[in-house]
Amino acid sequence: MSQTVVLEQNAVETQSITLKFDGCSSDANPSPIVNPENQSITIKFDDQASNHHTIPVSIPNVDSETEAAVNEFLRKHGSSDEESVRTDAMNDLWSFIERQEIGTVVVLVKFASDVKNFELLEIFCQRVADVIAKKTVEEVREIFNIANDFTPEEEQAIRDEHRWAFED
Amino acid sequence: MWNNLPSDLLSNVFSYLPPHSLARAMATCRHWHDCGRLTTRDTSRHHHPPWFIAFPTRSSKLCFVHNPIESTWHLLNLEHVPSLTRPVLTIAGHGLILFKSTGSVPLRLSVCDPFTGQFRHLPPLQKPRTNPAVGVIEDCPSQFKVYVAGGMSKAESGGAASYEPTLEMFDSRSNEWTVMGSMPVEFAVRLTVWTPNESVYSREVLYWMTSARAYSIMGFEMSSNKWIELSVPMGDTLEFAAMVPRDGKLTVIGGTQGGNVLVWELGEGDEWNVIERMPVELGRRFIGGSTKCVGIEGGVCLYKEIDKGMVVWRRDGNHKNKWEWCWIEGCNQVSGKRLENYPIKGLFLHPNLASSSFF
Repeated sequence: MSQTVVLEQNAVETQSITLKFDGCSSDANPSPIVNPENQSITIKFDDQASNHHTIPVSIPNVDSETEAAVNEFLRKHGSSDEESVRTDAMNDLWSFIERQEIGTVVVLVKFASDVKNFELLEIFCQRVADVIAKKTVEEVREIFNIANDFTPEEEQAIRDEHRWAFED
Repeated sequence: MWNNLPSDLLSNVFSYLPPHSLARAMATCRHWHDCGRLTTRDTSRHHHPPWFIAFPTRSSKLCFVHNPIESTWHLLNLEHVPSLTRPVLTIAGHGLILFKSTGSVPLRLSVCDPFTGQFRHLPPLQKPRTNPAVGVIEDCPSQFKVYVAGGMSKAESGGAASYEPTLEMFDSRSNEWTVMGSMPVEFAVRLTVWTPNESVYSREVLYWMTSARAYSIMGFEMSSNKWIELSVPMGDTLEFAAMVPRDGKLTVIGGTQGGNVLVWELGEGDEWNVIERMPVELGRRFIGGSTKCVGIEGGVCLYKEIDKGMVVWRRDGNHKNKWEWCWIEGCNQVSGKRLENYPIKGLFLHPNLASSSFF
C-alpha cells in the first residue's frame, strides 16, 4: 500500500528529516509536496520502491498458477532498478496473461485497481484492450458475454453515429 | 458477474483502444456505450497514431479521414459546421478542429469535434481584427489555449485600417480572451500579410512560419514576452515547407523543385541540423503538382489533391524511437462513388469520441 506522511512545520528555520519504514530507510527519493497554506509537507511513497515484496499477495477468484505468475512479477519487478530486469518481468507476465481466459484478466484488472498497482493495471488493461481491438461488435459480445440491450433502432443510431467504424 | 467492470475501469481499458475499435465496443451494449462517452485519451500515455484529416478547400460541410491502422479512407459529414468557415488548425490532443469565419468580417473562431458532431463558437476577441496568425497550446487533457497575433483592425471613426500589434489568448477553462501584450508592428505586418499556417509550441516559444517565400519563422517567447525571429534553412529555395513538433523540438520539413525533401531540427544556438531525407523511391512517386505538408507530434504528411497518393513520415508503432516513411494511396472514391478530385487542406488529430465538457 502507498504510505503518506504529513509533516507540519512550526516556525522552525531548518529541519532535516530521515524517514524510516519497517526498520529500513527508504531509497525512493520521492519529491515532497509543500503546502504553504498550512505549512505541511506531504511525501508519498510508491508501492514498488518502499515495499520489497517477499510476502506473496493473495488474489481472489483466480487459480493458483495465475496468482503465482503475478507474484513472480511483483517479486522480480520490485527486486531491481535495472531496466532489463523489469522489462523481462513484464514480458514474462505478458506472455502468461496472453494465454489466459479473458475472464481471468478482467478479475486481474479489478485486483490491480484495488491494490493500486499501476504497472499491473497497465498490463492487464492493455491485454483486455487487445482482445477487444479489431473485432466485430458480435465477436466482442460473444467473448465478453455481453447481452445486447439496445433496441434495433438504438443500435442503428449508434452505428450511424460513427459510420466510419462499421464500413468494412 | 465478472464481465461487469465498473465504469472507471472500463473507461481505462477503452483509453487503450484505437478509435474504430472503441466505436465498435460502444455499440455492444448500453454500459459500454456510456463508458465510451467518458473515455478521454491521454495521448502522452498511450501511443495512438494520429489521424490525417483532409478538408476540401471549397467546402467545410464534409471532410475525409484516414484511419492509419486499417489504412482506409472515410467520409465525415460536418452538417453542424456553418457555411463561410474554414478550418485553421487542430487542437490535436483534444480531437478538436479550430475553424475561422471567412470574408472580411472580424475574426470569429469556433471549435468542432468532427467525430462527435459537437460545435461551438468562441467568444469575440478583445481587439477585433481580420487575418491574424492563430496558434494553440495544449496544456493538459482538460485545457487548451488559443493565441491570436497581429491582423488588421478597423480604425476608429472611418479612418484607414491599421495593423493590430497585439497578442491575445483564449483560455478554454475560463472561456475568456485576454490581451497578453504587444508586438513590434513589423511582426504584426508579417503575421498578417503572409497568412501563416499552424503554430508549433516548443521550449516555451510559440512559433509561426510565414507562408510566402522566402520562408522565415517568428516566435513569441512566453516567459520573457519577447518576439524573436529565425531563418528557415534553404528558406529561399524551398518550394514548400512546414513546421512540425517532434519530441518537443521544433523541426522544419521542406522540399525543393527537384523533389528533394529534407527534415531539419532546431538545435543548440538556433542552428538547423538535417536529421532526415525522404527516400528517393518515394520522391519519384510523388513528383508533380503543388505539394503541401502538415505535421504533429508523431507524424508528418506530404500531400497534393485528395485523390493523389501521399507520403507520411511517422513514429513506428512498435519501436517508439524509430520513424518510418510510407506511401498512402489517395482517396478517389467513397461508398462506391467516384470522387471528384479537388484540393484539400490537411490536418492531423487524435479522434475523440467522448462528450467534451468544453461544449
